[in-house]
Amino acid sequence: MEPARSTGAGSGNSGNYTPEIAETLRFEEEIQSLMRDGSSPANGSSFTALLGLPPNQAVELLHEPGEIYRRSTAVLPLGCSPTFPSNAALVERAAKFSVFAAAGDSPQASHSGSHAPRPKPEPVDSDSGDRPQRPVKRKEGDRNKAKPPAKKSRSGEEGAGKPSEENEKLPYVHVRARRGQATDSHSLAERARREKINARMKLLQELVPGCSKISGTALVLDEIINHVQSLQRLVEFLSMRLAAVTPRIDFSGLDSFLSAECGRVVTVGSEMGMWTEEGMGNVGRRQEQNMCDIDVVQTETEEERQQWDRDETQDQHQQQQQQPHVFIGNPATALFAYDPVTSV
Amino acid sequence: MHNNKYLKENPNQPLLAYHFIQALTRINLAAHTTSTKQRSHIIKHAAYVSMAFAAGNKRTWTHAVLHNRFPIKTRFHRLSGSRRSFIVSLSRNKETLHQAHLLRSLVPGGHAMEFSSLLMETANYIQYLTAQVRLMQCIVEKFDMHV
Repeated sequence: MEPARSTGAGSGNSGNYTPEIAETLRFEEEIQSLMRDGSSPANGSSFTALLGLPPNQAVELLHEPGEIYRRSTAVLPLGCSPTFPSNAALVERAAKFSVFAAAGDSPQASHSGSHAPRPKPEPVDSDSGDRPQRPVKRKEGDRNKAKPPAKKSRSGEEGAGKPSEENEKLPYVHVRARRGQATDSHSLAERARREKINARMKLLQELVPGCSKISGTALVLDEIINHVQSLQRLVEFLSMRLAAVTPRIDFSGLDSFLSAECGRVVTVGSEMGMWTEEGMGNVGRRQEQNMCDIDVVQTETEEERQQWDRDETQDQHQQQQQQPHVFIGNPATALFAYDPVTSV
Repeated sequence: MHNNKYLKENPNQPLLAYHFIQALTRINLAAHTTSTKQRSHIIKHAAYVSMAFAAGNKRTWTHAVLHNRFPIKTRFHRLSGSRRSFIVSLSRNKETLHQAHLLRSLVPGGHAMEFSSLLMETANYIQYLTAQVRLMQCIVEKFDMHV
């Protein structure tokens, strides 16, 4: 599944390199400008925060840009398009760009000789493109300690170059520490985790109405909890009302109409029936009869139009008859095969 | 399995409606034998089950709802060693810890997840809860009008 997707995206991009290189450069410039302004989404604590993504996804962004784009279109804070070049050669070229930018820095930067050769061979290796998989997680913390702390301005570019190196390796994203921050692996991991949590909290904020104005984790969490509680209470209240209303209602016509209309949809869901434990029961057979009588639906269109106009199914009224006879034994109904008497 | 953000899909409304109405029909059959209070409890249960069904089996909370047990403990084992120490120390504050605990009790199957996945599950749960509530409101409203 994954290779197919990446090749699909690759074939789309493989024609012209120039716009994509320009895109990469533009992206790096934006990161630089972001760093200069100091106004990045999650207080600019790391490169991944600049992307507004957790580290895993930042790496995956380079593997399969199309997928990430489809998934979370609202995440990227920058104005640039999220289609990162997926071509391996292109990414290496991007690495070269960022490496040359950083190369001027590294000779002056590193004092200890043991650490100095490390930045250079790394980018060079990535250009060759066939590095062996390194199972050991390299601690960037050591390198950061070796260099003097004045690396803040460079972290943007190098951060842009760093994930591109990760293409052939395990999905560890190297986060360059900022000045004055602890650089051991624990705090790095914790920082990555915190960013992940913050990103998800933002998603939740959008979901809960009236939460985007509130700042601060505790209040937002309170709001979310209140929202979930109120929703659950609503469900309970509505079920009580339904229980009072139900005896007077004849559901059968509605049932067949809905099954005819949703037959297409439910065939997809029938595979879920595999993990239901109950058998079919005679209820399924009753469904059969309902589904065979499609003309029954016609006579009850009046009532059903009233009840389902909200569901934008009006236009599908006429299409019912053309719909093929839906599958008979929906195993998914077995899910609900609980006896009202015994289920309590 | 990647624990990245899932695709935030919109709940499948027709599917939800279909299963819920089916359940209601079946409950309706035995309406004469059950009291209203009993029935409301059953309907509530049916609502959650149809919600979980429409959401699919990929989610932790649906698993917990439908199979009446918490997700398998292997979720913890999959995490690396360095991560595990952070699961317990969710945050520095006592208040956030309390909130996290509250959230876990609200979302079905929430006790066996770490905090970030709990947040994702909550988002998905809220989506489906709102869809279900809207559906039920619509049904009740239409029937009130009808009668």
